[in-house]
Amino acid sequence: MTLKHLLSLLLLVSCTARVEIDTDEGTRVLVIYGHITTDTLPHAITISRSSGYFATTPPEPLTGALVTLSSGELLYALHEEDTLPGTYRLASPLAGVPGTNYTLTVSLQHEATTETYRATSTMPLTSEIDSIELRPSLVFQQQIEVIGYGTLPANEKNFLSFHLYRNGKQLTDKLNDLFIVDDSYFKQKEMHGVLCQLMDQKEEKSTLVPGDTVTLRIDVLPEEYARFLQQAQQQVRGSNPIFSGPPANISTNIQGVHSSTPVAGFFAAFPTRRKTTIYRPDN
Amino acid sequence: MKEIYRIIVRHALVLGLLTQAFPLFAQKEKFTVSGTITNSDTGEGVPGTNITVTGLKQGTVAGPGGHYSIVLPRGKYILAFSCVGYTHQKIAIDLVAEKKLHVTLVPRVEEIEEVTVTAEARELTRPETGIERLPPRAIKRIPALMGEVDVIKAIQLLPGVQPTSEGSSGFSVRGGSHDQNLVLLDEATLYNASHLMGFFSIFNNDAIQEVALYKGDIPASFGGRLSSLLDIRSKEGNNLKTTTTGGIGLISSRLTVDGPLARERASFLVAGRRSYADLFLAFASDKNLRSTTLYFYDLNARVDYHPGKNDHLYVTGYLGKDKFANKSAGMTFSNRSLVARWSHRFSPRLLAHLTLFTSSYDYYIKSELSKQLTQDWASSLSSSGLKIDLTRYTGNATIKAGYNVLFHRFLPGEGGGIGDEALFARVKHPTQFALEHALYATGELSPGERLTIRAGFRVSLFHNIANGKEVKYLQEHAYHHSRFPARGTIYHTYHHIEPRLGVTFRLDETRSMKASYTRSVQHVQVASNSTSGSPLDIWFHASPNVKPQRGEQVAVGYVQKFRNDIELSVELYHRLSRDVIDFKDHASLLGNEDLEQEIRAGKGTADGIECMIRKNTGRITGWASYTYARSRRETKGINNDKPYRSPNDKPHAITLVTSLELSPAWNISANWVYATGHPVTYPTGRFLVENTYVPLYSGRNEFRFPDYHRLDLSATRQLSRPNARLKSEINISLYNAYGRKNPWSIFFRQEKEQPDISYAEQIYLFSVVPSITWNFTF
Repeated sequence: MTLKHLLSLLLLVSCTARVEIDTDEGTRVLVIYGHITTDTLPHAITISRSSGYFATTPPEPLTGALVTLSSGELLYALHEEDTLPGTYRLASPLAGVPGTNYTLTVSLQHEATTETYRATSTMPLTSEIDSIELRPSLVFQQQIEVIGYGTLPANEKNFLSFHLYRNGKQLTDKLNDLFIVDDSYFKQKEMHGVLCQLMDQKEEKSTLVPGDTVTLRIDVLPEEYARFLQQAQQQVRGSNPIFSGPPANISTNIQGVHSSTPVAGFFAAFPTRRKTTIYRPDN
Repeated sequence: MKEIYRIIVRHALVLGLLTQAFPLFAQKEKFTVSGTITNSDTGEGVPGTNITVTGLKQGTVAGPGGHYSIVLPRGKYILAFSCVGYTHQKIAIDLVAEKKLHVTLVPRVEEIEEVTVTAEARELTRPETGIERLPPRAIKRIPALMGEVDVIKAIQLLPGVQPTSEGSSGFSVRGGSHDQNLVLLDEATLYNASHLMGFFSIFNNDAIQEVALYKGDIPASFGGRLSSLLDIRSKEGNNLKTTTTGGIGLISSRLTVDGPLARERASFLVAGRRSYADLFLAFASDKNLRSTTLYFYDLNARVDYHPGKNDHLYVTGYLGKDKFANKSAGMTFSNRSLVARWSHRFSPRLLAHLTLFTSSYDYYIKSELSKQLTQDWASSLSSSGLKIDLTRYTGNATIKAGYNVLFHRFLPGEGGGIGDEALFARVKHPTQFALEHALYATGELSPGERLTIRAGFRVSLFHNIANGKEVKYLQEHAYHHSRFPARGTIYHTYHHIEPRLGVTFRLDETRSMKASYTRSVQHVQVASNSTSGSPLDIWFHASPNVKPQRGEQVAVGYVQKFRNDIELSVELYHRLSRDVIDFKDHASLLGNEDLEQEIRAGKGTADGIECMIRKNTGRITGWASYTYARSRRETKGINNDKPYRSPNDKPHAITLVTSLELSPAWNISANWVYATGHPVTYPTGRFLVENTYVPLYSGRNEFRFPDYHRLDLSATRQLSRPNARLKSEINISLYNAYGRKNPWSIFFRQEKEQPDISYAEQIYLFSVVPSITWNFTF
């Protein structure tokens, strides 16, 4: 927080201007991204090719892939959606099981050969949310704090991400909305009145009125996936000469099998829990 | 610790042998002329004064405190004493025995010569390459950001020197990183020589006597860094009368008082500076900013004592602090140094210095957002040591030898949540201890009229000292095994021999060729992967897992003088560095106890040519320089193991510095600087993660920022008559006079309304920055 304050002070004396940057499009990279959770859902992954940074259209979806998900004992096929090219979904709802090792396999026909990519993720143990509380922040102006009570899982290391829903609609739908913490956030090794998210009352989408429902979702992330998201957040926020290291491509757990084609993205398996409360400011 | 003492004793014995060996070089029928050169107004020594012997191609330069010594055959000579800012003086002597000759130089009233890089009078014969000296009065005339006269900003105008980012006090010498520069204030190492996030250096120009920058060809008496030595000496107080000097500027004010404690025997100097940017914040439209505290201050103090003609003692100290705080967060940074030095002349031919020094840097951050989120973080480091230097003058040679020891204590960090309700646990990373020794000997010999040779070596030893905690050993960047050495014992040692060699061949009266070879070793470095460094940088040292950085530089140069006041110099260099520190992608450095796992060591090369022409006297003075330089690195694990540009690789750099004396009352100055843009890694592709475009990057440093250029102007008007007791002047300056938008950083964003559209936005810190400063002295 202090670094942000310092930077903001620097930015006080600075100015900004849009500039034209001439970069080539680099190498087009295969991107596989998706996850499976403990929610009973027909989980999906997306397969696409990266675009040039200054492209004005969404990434090109990659169609025709053969996608399977294995839990060790069972093998599930994911089928490409007719209306969403590049999105591959389980045929029927499936709930992931903590402790299970899931392997995603993607096979693509490239000219006369088949290229195979694989990613493995072990689903961590889950946290439990006993209750949540909404209260005006004494620190942050016009913000409502979402406070969580519950238990932390017995994983060797815990990485949690907090999501918010208002009246069933997800508020944390962008990368930088995610609040990711590790064990150092929980001094007592328990979740007892922990600040999980903030609801900005200056923004229309998160402004609460009495009777609104607020849902807190807590995901327990595999360490590699937490690092992936944190690296992605850092790269999206950008770098400065004083406090940032050089930009770098974010890590991936997608591996080419006998393939040297560059690949990006992530496949993760993680448990998720939700708790809902009703906003009653008088209480 | 017994081993440490044994090594010290062993080194001391070697040192003694070297000293005893000096008389072997002595020549018969030669006598020494020695003494001290002082300022006639203030009584302070005038280091850097050139002493040349008319008729002989021989001379020397006064050292710290203005002491000098030169050995000549029996005979009659005329000695010429010259120093920028002083009236030259010639003295005839008849040398039939050892002779003491104390000289007082009269400061020049006019400052026509001041805005120059000092032309070494012995530039043509000195076997050194890449050395630049800047007198404080020259620095004062250079247009400065917000009117803050700044030593390091002036240094950045020299060929081969570049700022590490826009407005930064960090500097890169010949493509090296900012932590590869050894910055000394009176022999004490300064680890973060900047105020206000690096926009100003910690050096108060009024308290400085001399600034010398050695670009790679570092004397054997110094070591520990690969790129350069910035040797700054504080000013001795006036021992004849009390004077007060000061200035009031837009961002800070300063005051220096110096005077005699005992006339001609003891003097003092106290200099202070404080910024007041926070006073303006009280008028900010943003209410949150009104309660912000933002300032820096620094204090220099020095006491000198001359108990006799052969002794000089001084104690000098520095304290500087930055503070930034608002309602919810605060940071402080502070530098301290304390140096005590005793110089004793055993005989006209043997001079000794004993220096004790200590310096420290620390920072503290505290955030008080709520009881749960209240947390702090502190880090500190200190280095203390002693240095013994002996200088022996013989017939046609000067021999120096010495020993120094430096004890490091680095606390990487401690902190965490505060209070019972705090969410974050508290952690303390173990304090690290290390000991550095060095023994050196170097000699300068003139075997003939044309040739001067300097040869020397430095033996460096570095010990890791156990702190009683586990020492982990890495293999392939992962912990492999560990040991528990007893606290205070040496558990790992590095030793190196660092030869230094310099040769000058004088082609004729106006031209000379030079060459030098330097090997140097660096045992401590900054844990920072940012380009310009930050106040939160922590330093770490070599260990079983981190090899010392090693560098070798070869340089050749050509110097020619025209009309006695214009000098042309051209210098080529090549530097090869090994085990240069870099960090893996996404390295986590701040507060990381397992920092060593993040390090990737590689190879660095730097090559370049520096051309400079300067005019030292007349109404128009200044210099123009052009540098072509390349700096590359190759590190396993970075950039797919392919070579990449170092962060300070800027092939072309042009600097024009000029000063025009319009009249005795008016002086105008201008700088223009140009440099190829900083290397940078740009996004070339993108993909979606959680509805957000994440960049895919080019190779490391494959692109560049737009080229950098800037014009600075200043005008100084004397407000007082030359003989007035209160002398004052007003300085008006324009930094970045034509408002060039030089990027400090470039960010990449997505349009809010059209998230598929990405764009680049540059942040530039300074447009035209006018300032006004009133300077006075009485």
